[in-house]
Amino acid sequence: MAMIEINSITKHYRTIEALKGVSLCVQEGTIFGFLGPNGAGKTTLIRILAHLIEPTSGSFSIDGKDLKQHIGYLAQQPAFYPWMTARELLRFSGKLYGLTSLETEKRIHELLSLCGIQAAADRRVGTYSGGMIQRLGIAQAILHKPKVVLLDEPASALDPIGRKEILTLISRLHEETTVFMSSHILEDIQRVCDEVAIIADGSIVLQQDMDTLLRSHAQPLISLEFDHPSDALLCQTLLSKLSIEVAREAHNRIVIAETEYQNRYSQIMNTLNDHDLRLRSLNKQNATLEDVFMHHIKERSHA
Amino acid sequence: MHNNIGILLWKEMTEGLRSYRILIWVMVCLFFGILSPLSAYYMPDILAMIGSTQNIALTLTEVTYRDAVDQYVKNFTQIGSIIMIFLAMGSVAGEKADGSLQFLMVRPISFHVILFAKIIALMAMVVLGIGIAALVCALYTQYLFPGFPLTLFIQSNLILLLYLLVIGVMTTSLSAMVSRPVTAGLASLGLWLVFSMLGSLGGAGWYSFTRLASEIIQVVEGFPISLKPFSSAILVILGSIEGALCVLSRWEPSH
Amino acid sequence: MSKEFVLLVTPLVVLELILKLVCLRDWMKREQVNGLSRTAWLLIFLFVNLFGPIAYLVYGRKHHGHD
Repeated sequence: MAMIEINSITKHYRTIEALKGVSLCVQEGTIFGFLGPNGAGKTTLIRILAHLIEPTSGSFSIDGKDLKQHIGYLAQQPAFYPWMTARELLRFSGKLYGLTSLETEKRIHELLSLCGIQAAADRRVGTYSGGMIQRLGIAQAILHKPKVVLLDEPASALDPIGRKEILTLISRLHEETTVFMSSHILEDIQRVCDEVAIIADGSIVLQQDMDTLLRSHAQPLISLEFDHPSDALLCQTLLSKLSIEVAREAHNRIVIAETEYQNRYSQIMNTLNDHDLRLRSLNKQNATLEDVFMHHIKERSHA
Repeated sequence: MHNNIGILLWKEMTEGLRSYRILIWVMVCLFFGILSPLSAYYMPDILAMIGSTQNIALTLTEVTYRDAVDQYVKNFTQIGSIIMIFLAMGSVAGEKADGSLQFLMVRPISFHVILFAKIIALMAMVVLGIGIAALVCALYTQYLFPGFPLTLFIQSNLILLLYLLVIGVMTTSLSAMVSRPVTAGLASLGLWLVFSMLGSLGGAGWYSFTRLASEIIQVVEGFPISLKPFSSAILVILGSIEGALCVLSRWEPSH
Repeated sequence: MSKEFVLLVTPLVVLELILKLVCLRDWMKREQVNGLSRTAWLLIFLFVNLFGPIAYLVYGRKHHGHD
C-alpha cells in the first residue's frame, strides 16, 4: 500500500527552479532513501512534506490524507529550545500533538531508552552534543507515532561513530513507521534503506528498491592487479585489441565487467600466459550505490 | 486544538522565567516604583546641594505627590517602553533566526495560537510588574506626601498597562514580520518615536496612543479623560496583530 | 543624610545586589558569552547599575545558536 504519494510537485524561487515536477510513491513500512548531491532539491521536498513550505504546484498525501498529525520531522540542523530539558521538550511535543499525559509519559520512557538519552533526560538541551541532539531529534519525530517520519540528512553532520549509532537507530524504526530520509552520503543510504530514489537538479532520476538497483544498474567487476604498471598497460592494450572492454583503475590495476570476464575467460587467460603478465591479485568487486549514483549523475551532466 | 494555548502559555512563561526576562521586568518595575516618589521627594535637597556648591540661589516650589506620579509615568512611558521593546523584540524573530519556530510549524498548531500565547504571556508579565510597581509606589508616596489620592492612582495604572501593552504588542508583531530581533527592535523604536512626535503636536496629535501618558495624570488629578488616545491604542494593537498574522502565514524558512 | 533616607533607599540597594548576584552566578557557570569578552561583561554588570545586569542577562548570556 502506498504510504506517501507525491504528484508532480514543483517549487520555484525567484530565479531558481528547485523542484521540476517530482513524483514519488513510497510503500508502507519501508525505509526510503532520498539521495542526491547538495543543492539537488532534497531539503526543499522534505520541507514541503513537513508543511514548512508550500509547493508552487502539485500535491502530496500521507496515507491518503494531508495531516500534520501523521508526520514526524527532523530538520537538517535541528533547533530545539535550549532552555528546555529533553524530557520537557518531549512532553511539550506530546501535548501539542494532543496526546494524553499518560500516553506521553509512557512513550517518553520508551523513547529515552530506545534513543539512548535516559541519562541526560533532565539536562537542558542547550548542553547537548551534536550526536545527542540528533538522537533527541529522532525521539521527538516519532513520539506521537506518526505514519511517516521525515529525516533530513539525519547522520551527515556527525562523526563516524555517531553516524553509525544514528543509522542503527533508524534501521530499527521500520517496525513502527515508514521512514523517508535524505542524504548525500551514499554509504548511509546503502546501509539502511530498502528503497532509493535519486534526485539531481530538481528531478527524480530513478526510483527502485535497493537490491534490484544494485543488481541491474551496477554490474560487478573483476579487477586484475599486476606487479608492474607496464604489465597493466600492456594487458589493457592487448585485451582492447580483442575488443574486450577494459578500464584502467590504478596505474597497476585494470577492471573488466564480470560478464565479459566469464564470456571471454580463455582468451583473457591466454593473453596473460602468452605475454608472461604476472598477476598479483584477482578480485571480484561488488557494485556499490556509489557506482550507480556516479553513473546516473554523470549521464545527466553529459546529456 | 483548544488545549494547545495552555501548553504554549506554559512554554512562554517558563521561557520568560528561565531567560530571566520576567525577573528583569519585575526588577525594573520595583526600581521605578520606589525611585519615582523618592527622587521627587528629595529633588529640592539634591538641587539645593548643587546650588550651594555653585553659589546659585534656587527658589523652588514645594514638591507634592503630583511630582511623584509625574516621575512614575515618565519613567515607565519612556525608559520602561525602551526596556519593553528590548524584552519583546526577539519574541518571534528570535525563534525564526535560530530555527526553533519550525518545531512549532510542523506540529498541528496555527500561527494565531502561537502569537496569542506570546501576547497573553507578555500581558501577564506586564500586569505582574505594574501591579508590583503601583503597590510600592503607592506605599512610598503615601508615606512621603500628604493628600495622595490612592484609589485614583490605582485606576490610572490601568491606562499605564494599556500604554505598555501597545508597545509590547507592537514589538511582538513587528518581531513576527521580520527575520531578526534587532530589526524588530529598531522598527518598534522608530514607530514609537513617530507616535511620540505626533503626540507632542496639537490637533491630530491627540490621536497618538502616546498621549495616554497625559491621560494617566488626568485620572490622578480627578479630571475627565479624552477617549481619542484610547481609540488609537486599540487600533495599533489590532492592526499590528492583523499585520503579523498576515505576514506570518506566508513566511517560509529560508535555507 | 537622615536615617529615614537610608531606610527608604535600602530596598533599591538590595534589588541592585540581587541583580548583580544573579548575573555573577550565571557568569561563573558560563564559559562563553555573547558579543563582548567575559571580563568586559563582568565589569559592565558590576559597575553599570540596573542597565548593566539587564544587558548581560538579555544579550550577554544568550546561547550560541547556528547564526
